[in-house]
Amino acid sequence: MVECRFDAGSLVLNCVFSGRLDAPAAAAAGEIIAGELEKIASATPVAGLDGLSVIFDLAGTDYVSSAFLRLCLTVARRAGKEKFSAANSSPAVKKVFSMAGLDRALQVD
Amino acid sequence: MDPDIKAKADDLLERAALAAAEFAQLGQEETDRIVREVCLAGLADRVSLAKLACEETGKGIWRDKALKNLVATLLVYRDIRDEKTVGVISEDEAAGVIEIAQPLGPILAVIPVTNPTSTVMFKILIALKARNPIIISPHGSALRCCGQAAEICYRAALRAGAPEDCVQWLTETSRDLTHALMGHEKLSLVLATGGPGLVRAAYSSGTPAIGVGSGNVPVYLEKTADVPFAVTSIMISKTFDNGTICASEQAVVVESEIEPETRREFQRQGGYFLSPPEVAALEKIAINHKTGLMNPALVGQSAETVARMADIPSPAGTRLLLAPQEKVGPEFPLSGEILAPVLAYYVREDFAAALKTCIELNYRGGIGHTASIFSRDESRIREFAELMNAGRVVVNTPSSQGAVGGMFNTLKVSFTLGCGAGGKNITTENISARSLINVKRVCRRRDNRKWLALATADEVFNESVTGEILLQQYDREPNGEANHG
Repeated sequence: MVECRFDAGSLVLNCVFSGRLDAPAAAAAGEIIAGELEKIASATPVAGLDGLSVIFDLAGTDYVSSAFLRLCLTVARRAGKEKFSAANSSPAVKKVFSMAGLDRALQVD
Repeated sequence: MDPDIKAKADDLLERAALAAAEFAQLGQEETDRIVREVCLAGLADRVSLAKLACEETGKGIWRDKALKNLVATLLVYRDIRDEKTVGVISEDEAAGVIEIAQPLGPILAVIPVTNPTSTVMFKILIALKARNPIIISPHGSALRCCGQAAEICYRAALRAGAPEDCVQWLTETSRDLTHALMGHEKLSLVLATGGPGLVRAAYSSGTPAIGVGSGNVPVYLEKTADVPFAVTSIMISKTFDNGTICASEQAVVVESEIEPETRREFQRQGGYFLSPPEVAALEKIAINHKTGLMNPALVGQSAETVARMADIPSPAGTRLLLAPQEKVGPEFPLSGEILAPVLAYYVREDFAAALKTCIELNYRGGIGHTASIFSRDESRIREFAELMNAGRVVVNTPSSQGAVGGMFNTLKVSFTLGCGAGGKNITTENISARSLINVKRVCRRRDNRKWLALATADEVFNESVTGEILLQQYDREPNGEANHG
């Protein structure tokens, strides 16, 4: 699943994923992250999500579904492409991003 | 390109690419579970899909289409069930080679009007077995039945844990969209079953393609043939689904010694021999005289319907129309392919004359497809097989069912029959799941005897061909003198 930690000082939302991110898990994670983003946006009414960086930490997962890849795209669109990154992916998960053609559209490490 | 078309193609391939990425993570067991569920779902709905296909296309016989659906699901499943398509598929310790299967990625499957639901289910099963997402592009006259078949398979696949969008299908017919998809950078393969124009478009798209060729199947009744058995087999094959299978017989070539018996047997089993004026009447409606191709309105119609269309008063219960012909060629239009219960009929004096007619038929639009022979003479069978340019030569077998495989022989069960270079295809194989993976070879260091043998005299050539002598030649001047630097 996902655990979100927001650092108000550096304006970074760190989403730490674990387990198999199949379609239901991706949908549940999507709701949690959307809620976090709403909270952050409403807490800073003037700036909204401006300046916010979102990191998806994938160290704890070895399976990502197409629904999860779509979630990455949605969040990257919302935060801004350059403000989104997927980090700590395993080689197998990194390959999945490459196969989907997302390694060029998103920052994936 | 129309921006709407481009947006549609982008969306379909975007989804397919994401599905491909997810699919690549599944193991053999998970993949096999998906394939099994899809097979069972298709099998359960084989009758309703067959009826819908008949109703929508106006072609064929629903009972036969239901049987085709059974073959396309259960028989195909049994054929591919135990095949390894994920991870290591073979390991040869002595040779030092491990083979690893890799999925291709998104596949575009073009579906013909003649075998719509069966081809949809067949292609979905083999694509999923190889962990490839698939986009179904149906013939314009079979959109509804193909969509329904695809949806049934997709729902079953999802229930079994397949990625979202692993099966997609077009709900409207659009040549532009099909072409946009064929040439899309995210598409990995076109699996094209259809007419020559469509197959040519697939090959010209720049995307790898597996296509099929058109057929013009000669069936040769050699004088040692068991005539009643041969005629029964031909009737089973040529009347099946009103002749819509491209591997069905198109012309009978019979040796004169057994001709009377053959004629009687055809008549006994519901064959009607056309008189010369009736042949002329059929020629007028069977072929488009501008293109030389068959009239689509005839395809998949019963013999009685075809006779009615040509104003031929065939007797009630006629199952097959036989048109006696002298020669082969454009001036004999019925010597070409007609996907309906119509057979050209040739009588030849002997083996050599019969063989020459079979070759002419084979080369009149059916190169690389299928040829058929009934004989008890093994040497004649072999000579016939040597001379035919065909991916399949079926022997003492109904040609339609024989070429599709799995019933009367051990050919791979397939609804996409490769026709080799003659049919402008890359392969003569019956296409199956194995055709839809890339094989990666991991090669460990081993001493190769062929390389080591270079150091010594070669047994095939002579002592002048050794590695030492060949290497010394680099030290010589172009005039042949030794170069001492």
